[in-house]
Amino acid sequence: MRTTLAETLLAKIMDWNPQEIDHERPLLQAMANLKWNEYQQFSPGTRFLESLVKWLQQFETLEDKKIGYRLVKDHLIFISNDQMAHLVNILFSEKINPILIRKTASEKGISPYLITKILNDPLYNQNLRMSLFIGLSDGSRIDHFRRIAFLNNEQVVATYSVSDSKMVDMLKELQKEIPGSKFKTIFLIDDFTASGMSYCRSDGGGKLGKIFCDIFDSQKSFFSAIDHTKLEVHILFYIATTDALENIKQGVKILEQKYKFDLKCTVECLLQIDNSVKYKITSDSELMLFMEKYFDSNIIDEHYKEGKHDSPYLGFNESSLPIILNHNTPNNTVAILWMPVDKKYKGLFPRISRHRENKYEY
Amino acid sequence: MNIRNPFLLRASERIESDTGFLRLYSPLALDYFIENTNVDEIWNRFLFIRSSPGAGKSSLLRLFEPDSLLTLLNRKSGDEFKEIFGKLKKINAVSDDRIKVLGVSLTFTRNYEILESFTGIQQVNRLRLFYSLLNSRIITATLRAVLSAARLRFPEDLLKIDFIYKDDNLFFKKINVPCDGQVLYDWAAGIEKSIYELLDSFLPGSSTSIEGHSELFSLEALRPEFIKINGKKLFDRVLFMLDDVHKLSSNQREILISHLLEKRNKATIWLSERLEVLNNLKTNRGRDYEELNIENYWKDREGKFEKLLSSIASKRAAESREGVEFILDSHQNELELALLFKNAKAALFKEIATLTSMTSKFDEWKQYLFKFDGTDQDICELAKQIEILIQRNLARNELPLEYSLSIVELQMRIDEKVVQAARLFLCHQFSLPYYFGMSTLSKLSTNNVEQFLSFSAPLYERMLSLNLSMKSISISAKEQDRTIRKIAHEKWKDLDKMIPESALITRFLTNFCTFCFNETFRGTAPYAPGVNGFNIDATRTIKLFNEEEWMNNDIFADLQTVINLCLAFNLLHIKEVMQGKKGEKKNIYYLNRWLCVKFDLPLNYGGWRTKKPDELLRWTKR
Repeated sequence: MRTTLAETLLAKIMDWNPQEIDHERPLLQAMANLKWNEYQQFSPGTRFLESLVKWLQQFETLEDKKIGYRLVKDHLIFISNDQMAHLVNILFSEKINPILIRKTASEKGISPYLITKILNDPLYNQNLRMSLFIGLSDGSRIDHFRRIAFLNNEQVVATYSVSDSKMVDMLKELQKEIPGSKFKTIFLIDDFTASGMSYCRSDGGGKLGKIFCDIFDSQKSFFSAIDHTKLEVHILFYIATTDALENIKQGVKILEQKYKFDLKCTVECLLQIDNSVKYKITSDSELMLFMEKYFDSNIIDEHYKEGKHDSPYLGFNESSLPIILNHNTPNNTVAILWMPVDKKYKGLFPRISRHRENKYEY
Repeated sequence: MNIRNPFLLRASERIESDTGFLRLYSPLALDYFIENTNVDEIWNRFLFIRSSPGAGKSSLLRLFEPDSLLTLLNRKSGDEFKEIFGKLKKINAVSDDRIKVLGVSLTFTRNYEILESFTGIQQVNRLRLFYSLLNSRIITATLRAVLSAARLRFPEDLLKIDFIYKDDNLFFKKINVPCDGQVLYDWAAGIEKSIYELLDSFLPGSSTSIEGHSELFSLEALRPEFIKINGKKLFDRVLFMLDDVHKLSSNQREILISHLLEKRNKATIWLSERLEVLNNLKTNRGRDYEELNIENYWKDREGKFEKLLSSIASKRAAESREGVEFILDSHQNELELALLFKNAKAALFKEIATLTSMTSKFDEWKQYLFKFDGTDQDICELAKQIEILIQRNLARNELPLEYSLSIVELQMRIDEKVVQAARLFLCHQFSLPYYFGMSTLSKLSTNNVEQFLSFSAPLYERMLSLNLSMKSISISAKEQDRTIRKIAHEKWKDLDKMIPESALITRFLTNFCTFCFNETFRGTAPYAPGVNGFNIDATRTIKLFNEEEWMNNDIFADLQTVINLCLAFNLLHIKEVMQGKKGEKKNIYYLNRWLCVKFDLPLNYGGWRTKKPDELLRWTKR
């Protein structure tokens, strides 16, 4: 569909007068060019405006169309590729380096503010080399992060289930450089979490459960590569909600009790989404009715039910988020924005589930 | 260009491709050179190009840069470039097969001013550094321009340039000339680099290691006969274009200009600057230098300026991906306004009847009006004209001779000014559209292209919206008026962000405009169609003691600030008029026309009042 044709249709669907077109059109074009067109799950040939036209067309009344448009204009938060790349670029300097500086300062018994002295100390370089960086999903962009942070390839792994042979190799390489050493700091990195449920489940499962199991299971080669006496684990996200961070911290406590370990474990993120984003949506009664009306309950499956689902139209675990990531939409986002194309109502940014059974959840 | 609204594109520096720039450039400004001087004189004069921001200085200079001229030469027969090429050919900037002028552009930035702040360096050495920096930048810019014009690569092909200047005056102390372009470039770039190092250093400066120059010899040395490629002279002349001279410190600017005028070398030099700087050169215009004040040039050529804007508008519209023309309806849409005119007619008849209830003097005029055969709009305009004339007549302190005034007398008294005033009064009284049509938009632009674009961009956006809604793209007079007023209102709100001392300036302008409004809308329309300017009469100030002229008197500091800033930011502009004693010239400070829109004033020139400096000062206070 040509853009002008889409815009003509949009003006007609929304019943805009020329003044409204003057105002809305430059804004939509600017935002589409800046970010929204880059959504990777649009079908071939479709760009934002075409998707918007089709999306609005499915709403029954002009009033509903206006509410839908308002959801996009006033609430939508789209994280573009450039924005995510920027977060990857700053992760080392903003979060990881300060941790290493503090750790080195504490081991040397000097003030952490003596930055240059610490950075020039061989112990800092040893601490850096004795750190293990693990990507928790392909969204973590661990390859990009490794290049930006100038890390050794033998201390970075792209997946949290590391094979025994890989672990043996990594330890061998580390000990070539620092004889007798083991990894004593683990950085677990991921792009986004909205509920934290895939990291810590109430039964002690989840991604973190599996990793901690590897760390403390003496049968695994992972165990022998770790220096358990000085171990620190830092869980880092590029973007996270306040709720998710809190849930993960609680989950870590449960894991501590389960494995009876006492280590330093922190949970942090670069860009924190606070609850005001969620409340802005849930306090808008008109919008709530609209989202409830245009919801297809077929998206509720057993996995969806693992979260709260009294108001399932608010997204997985009723997260009520308006967030779109450029490569896919999280299912914690309100459903009307992401419902797949085979449902009764279609999302503006249709989500592709990583697993056929909609297991993909952050 | 694949953009929706090309009217949103601004300064030429930001339009990246030369083709894109040339497509949007309207060459009517070149007529200044064609009209004013014979062809050779253009290149022998020292020229100042002055204007407010956005009037087209940098665009004019960009036109003479080698890349623009080469693009034109390559596409000279294309319809879109024919006119511009023809004009440049007429002034001998290009011929059919080559570029005749090598345009070397040097834009001043604030970092020259930083040199002045190096108080650790003696004044005389600061001056030498300033000349060194200028010489080095002019030389490097010229070498780049030569390669560009010869379609060679920079810096790889610097070796191909032969610089065959005979250094009789020993200007080049550290290199042997004649030499090749590479040697010359390395030497000049080295000087520039060492000055940068001095500027960037946190340590107390030592200028002794830098090669200091005592004059601007680069302009003399870089004559076309001394620059050759493969033994051939490529250009007839070199044009040095020094842009944004106002960014130099006042001392540097003065030194530079005095030096250039004193030397009066054979190089062609154009200096462009904003009107921030009040010209106080004690030289005769025409003999030592020529001045192109772009806004003044258009001021006396209203029709031509409108043509320029129409040409710019159609060029811009042609660049839009949506293929919508820029057309402004210049008539009040009768159908839309029919009811308004009908009501206005009834109200005006009633007003005139009340006004003349005590006299029979105007009976014939009234009869003429009531029986007038025309549209409601025509009748309303006539009624307002008659009302003004009645007001004027009644205001005279004459003994009433109760004879009825004739129709002939009425027709004699209705002149263009009354017609204009009546139209303004009518629109104001009945909320009818007043600011609409291309001619109004041209007046409104106050001889400034960027101002035109700021008003035309939203109007074009509306045309695009109408086109998208599959309606006629013609915007009604009422809608044009509403949009124009809205833009003026937004510009007024933006003043706070755009100008220093905004509180002082907006206070002064509000007071002045309120004064203009009250004078304009007096029933007798004494300064028809209205007042929107002032003249400062310093001679009438009562002197209780021997005080200085307002311009040098600290008591008037606020007024000086207001006038200087208003001129610099194009809120006021000066027009010279001959009035009073024979040959006496007066400077009239007129409001920028968008301010007239903001305060509901007419866009005409000629309506001004004389004010004393202390009266004006009062407007800055409360």
